[in-house]
Amino acid sequence: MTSTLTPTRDRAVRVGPGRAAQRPALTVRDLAVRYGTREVLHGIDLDVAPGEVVGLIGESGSGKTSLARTVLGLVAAAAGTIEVDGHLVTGFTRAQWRAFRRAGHAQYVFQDPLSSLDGRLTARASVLEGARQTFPAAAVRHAEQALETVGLDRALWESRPAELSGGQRQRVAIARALAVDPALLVCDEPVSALDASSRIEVVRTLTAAARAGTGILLISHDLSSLGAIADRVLVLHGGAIVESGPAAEVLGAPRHPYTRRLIDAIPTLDRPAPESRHRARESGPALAPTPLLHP
Amino acid sequence: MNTVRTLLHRPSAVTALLLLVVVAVLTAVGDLIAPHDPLAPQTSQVLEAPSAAHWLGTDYLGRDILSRLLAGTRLSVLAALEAVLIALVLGTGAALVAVFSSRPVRWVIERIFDSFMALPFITFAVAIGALLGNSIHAAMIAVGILAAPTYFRVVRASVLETVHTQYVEAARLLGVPLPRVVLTHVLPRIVPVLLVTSASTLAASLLVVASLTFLGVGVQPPTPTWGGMLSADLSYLALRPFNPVAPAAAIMLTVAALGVLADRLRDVRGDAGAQEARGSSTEGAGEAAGGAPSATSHRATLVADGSQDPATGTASAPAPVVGRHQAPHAAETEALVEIDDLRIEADTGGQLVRGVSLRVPRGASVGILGESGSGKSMTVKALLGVLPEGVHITGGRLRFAGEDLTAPDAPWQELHGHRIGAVFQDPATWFTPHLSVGAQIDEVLRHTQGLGRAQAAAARAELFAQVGLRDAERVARQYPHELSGGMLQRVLLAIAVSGEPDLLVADEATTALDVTVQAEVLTLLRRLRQELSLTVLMISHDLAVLAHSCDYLYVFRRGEVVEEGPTEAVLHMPQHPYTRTLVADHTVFGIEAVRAAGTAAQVHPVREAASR
Amino acid sequence: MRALLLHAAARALPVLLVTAAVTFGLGAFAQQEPAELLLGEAATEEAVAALDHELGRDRPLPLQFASWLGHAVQGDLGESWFTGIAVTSTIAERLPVSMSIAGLALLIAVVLGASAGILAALRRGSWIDTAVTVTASTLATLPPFVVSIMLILLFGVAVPILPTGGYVPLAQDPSGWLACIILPAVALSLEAAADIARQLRTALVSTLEQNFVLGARLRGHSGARILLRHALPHAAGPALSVVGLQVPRLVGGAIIAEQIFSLPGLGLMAFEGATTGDMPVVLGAVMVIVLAVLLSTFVIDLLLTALHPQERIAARTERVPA
Repeated sequence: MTSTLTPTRDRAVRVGPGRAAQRPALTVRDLAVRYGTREVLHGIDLDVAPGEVVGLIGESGSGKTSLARTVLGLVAAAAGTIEVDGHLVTGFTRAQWRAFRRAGHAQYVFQDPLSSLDGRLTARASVLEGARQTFPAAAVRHAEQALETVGLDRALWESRPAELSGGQRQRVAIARALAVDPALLVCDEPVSALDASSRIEVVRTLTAAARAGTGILLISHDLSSLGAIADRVLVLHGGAIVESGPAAEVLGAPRHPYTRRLIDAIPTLDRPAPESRHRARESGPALAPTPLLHP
Repeated sequence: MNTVRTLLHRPSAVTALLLLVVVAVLTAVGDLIAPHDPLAPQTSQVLEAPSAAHWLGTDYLGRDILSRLLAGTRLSVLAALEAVLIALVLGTGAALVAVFSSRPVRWVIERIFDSFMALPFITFAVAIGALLGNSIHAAMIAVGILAAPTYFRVVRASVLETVHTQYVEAARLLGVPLPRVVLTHVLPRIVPVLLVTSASTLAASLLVVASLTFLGVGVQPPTPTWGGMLSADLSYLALRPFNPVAPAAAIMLTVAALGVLADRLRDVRGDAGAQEARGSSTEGAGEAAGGAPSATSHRATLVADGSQDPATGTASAPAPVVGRHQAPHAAETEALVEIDDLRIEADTGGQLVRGVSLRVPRGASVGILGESGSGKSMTVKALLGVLPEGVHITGGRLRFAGEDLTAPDAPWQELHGHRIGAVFQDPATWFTPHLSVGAQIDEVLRHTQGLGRAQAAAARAELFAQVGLRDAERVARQYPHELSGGMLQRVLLAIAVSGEPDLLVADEATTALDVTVQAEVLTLLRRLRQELSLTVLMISHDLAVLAHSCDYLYVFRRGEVVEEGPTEAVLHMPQHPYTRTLVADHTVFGIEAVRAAGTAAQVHPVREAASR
Repeated sequence: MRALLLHAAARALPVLLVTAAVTFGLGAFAQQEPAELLLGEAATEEAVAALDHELGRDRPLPLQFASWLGHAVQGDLGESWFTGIAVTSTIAERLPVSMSIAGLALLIAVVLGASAGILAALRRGSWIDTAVTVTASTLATLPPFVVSIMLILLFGVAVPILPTGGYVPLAQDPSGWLACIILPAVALSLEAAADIARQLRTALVSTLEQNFVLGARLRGHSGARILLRHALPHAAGPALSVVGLQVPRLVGGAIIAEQIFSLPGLGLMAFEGATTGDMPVVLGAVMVIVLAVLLSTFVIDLLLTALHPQERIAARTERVPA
């Protein structure tokens, strides 16, 4: 996606794909969230820079979805501050949230595109819905640009969700979010409802969005689906961040015992290669998995 | 508009609509086309039998029954419409207000409509109609108010259902203003609901009007109404027993037409809803139904066609349909499960399983790998003897310990709960919700395994210990919804192995569980297998899960086995392009990717791929 | 249990209060002037005013209502303006009639509806299923008074073996009692039976497709056990809710059955009271009818809670709409 500067809102100028803009996409400081008397999150510090993919790992009950919903104003923070695209959103009134959302600063991608897309609307109509709010004058252009960014075949633009594959659907949902040119994209388990073969197309789409300068907060219960694309990884456990750092460090040399447990829990393909057929590999398929199986 | 078109394809709906059109016309002009004056008494021809002049005969004042019937349509129908209109406006309006207003307001509105629901509305309509000096309008206002809760409930439920969907949440997050959200997402969904409700409420109101006029409430004597005619006929039943037939038929036919219309509308709506919700399963079904993948399926471009590339790399070799690894699959050992050329078809014509052959040697752990629609679940359901309705085995053999399971007299009673145990995905759905967990395991122990009460309690404690459930007494007292998915899966495993089965089937048994829980369940499965010397058949879409637990793999795709072999061979030398994609996928999404990120962080496989 | 009772009371009280207030308010608009009716056309203004004062009708409406309410909570529902008989004693006389008809009708509806629904669900797609579905749809279009007429034609005129009017108390002559109420009860019950059958069939069919039913099969349980212990209690919820919705209809429809079969029940009491503007009688009858409906709803809620321990009190708010 090319960087767009519109008069409808103030936004740091995007300096181009892959390079950071001046303003962080998300800054969270000492955040706490409570449901009644139950504290689901406490002391959360989190940064997402423009163009950065931050992975947030947590199992069910860790508070990861609450965190995502708090960032987007769907759940109120009990303490701490959240800044999205340079705006202090904690303490926003309802009207302020409405205006903030219309300006398209932050967007959300749900786990299951089948539920997050209105089954009655075509791909194009879904994407247009949001673009119309943010760019009343140039909605169509932004919508079509977003559909192109996610690489959805033009022939499918007038299709309804039921006529699309899982991966295509999720790309429509991502296009809907990207059409408003958000500084921050929060993705809640964007690939876990998809078949293996659809996951890669979605991950490619998200990577492309990050290259265009969007900061991405990628939430998952599964470390392995983050390892591939996250620049930095945070591990959420019992409502607090127990470990954080560059993906390579956290995944390669986990320090916290919980992180280690998480990594150990992932089933591996590790099996000794059979003796008898060892030679077959040399003449075997071009896509040889072995180096990665035994790093 | 689609709804209308679908509706017109149903003969019953068309008949009902035609009938209603006739009633509508009669409502407008019934008194004008009546052959005789419906009000003028003819003392010379009282209670006459049907004749050429009076097709339906005459009543006790000598008035033409047919004419009274035609003229009576108007009051009967208009009064009912009046009530429906009142109910519609009141109920729908209140529901919309309630859903979108603050909690106290909503609470008050809900309580008011709740109260109306409990009132016997014929009693009220009669009382009000009679009190207010025989006014049909007063009675109809009462009926309208008392019928409003029906609309209120239906509309509130469907609005709430829509408002809480993720697509509405997504729209709100995009800053789409509320009126626009209602217009785009909510209203189109309640229109069909309103149609259905209106048809059935109109039917109910017609009956109430008929009851009221039957009692003589709301209309003065000479005015013809269907209910009033019936009541008059009742007095002369002995003389003219068939006089009530015509007005009764008029009421019944109109009500029946509305009922049929409501049912058909509901069907059409149900179909549309199902279509909307079907999603990924449609995708799978399309694939399973055989033939080429749909033009829109992206998957075809990711995965090369099976016949295209023989995995050996030698161009001259004939393309193998099934990638078969040479390692012998213990042909000498006794096969517990033997499936030969199994074919399963849906009555609708789809081929779900197309000639699958599979062997599970006693004591082995065999895995079936496949995505949704690959036919893996159908194969397992056939093995368990629980194919869904409308799906049948159309060919091949299915044997368990030498017994033919395709035979009509297959000994399922002997197998279920005894020789085969099974666990599945979403453990919570496999428990009867209204029985405690303990009651359900005890039921198996006592009635299937034939233990006494005390023995069952002891056996239960032992089983719970075996599957690693601590605090067994407390767990047993709890209901399924009070336990976590991991705990429930353990209990299901306890039930599955309670009969000391030969074979344990685990169909996506760890899917959708947290990774750490998945690891625990997988470890438990492995331990149970050793301790109880079970034969295990595992089904999963996740290669790593199977790699972790199985010695031998079958790869299913579109109802066929595309590759099989010892796990190591399949992992290291996948022959079929599809299997290769799955293995490669793990370099992106598996622990392998995690390790790759950890060691060689500079190289980002997907980022590389994305930039290609 | 206590929570449930409190909940039921919290729900019932406003309904009773609102019903009483609305009925009372409507009385003010009644077209009949009881004093004029009682004294005849020739009555003098003074005589009418004196009688109105005697009946308490010259006071402001809220005051009249408050005084009625004050007496009502002590079990005194006043006297008929016309006969002077205590409303409570009329109710005591007529309640057994209404209870007999409604109770028997409910029993027939539940037994007939439930067995037809279960049979149809178990033999889905067979001729039994078709027969049940078609019969149920047809019956749903038959108003009770049409059925009453047909029954009278059949058993009163064509084969006169049953009385078509009158009432004999149970204590006096059990078989005569049954003979008197069987026709009205059947006439009332068919519509409800059809509704119950349809709901139970739908619910049971979808329950039988649930994983836990499949699971019970795989655990080796017998068909009867699966139906009775696993599937039916789960499916009975929606059907029970229908019963709850049918009770007001049965009670309401009773007015018509009472009229046709000349049975001195509560419905007819309310109707006769309304036509003459006899407010104490109307109020008394209506209140007892509403109370009966609320009581039966409470019983059904108890049953629902017993069937679905996981839903507890929430069950009631999730009623299937009619």
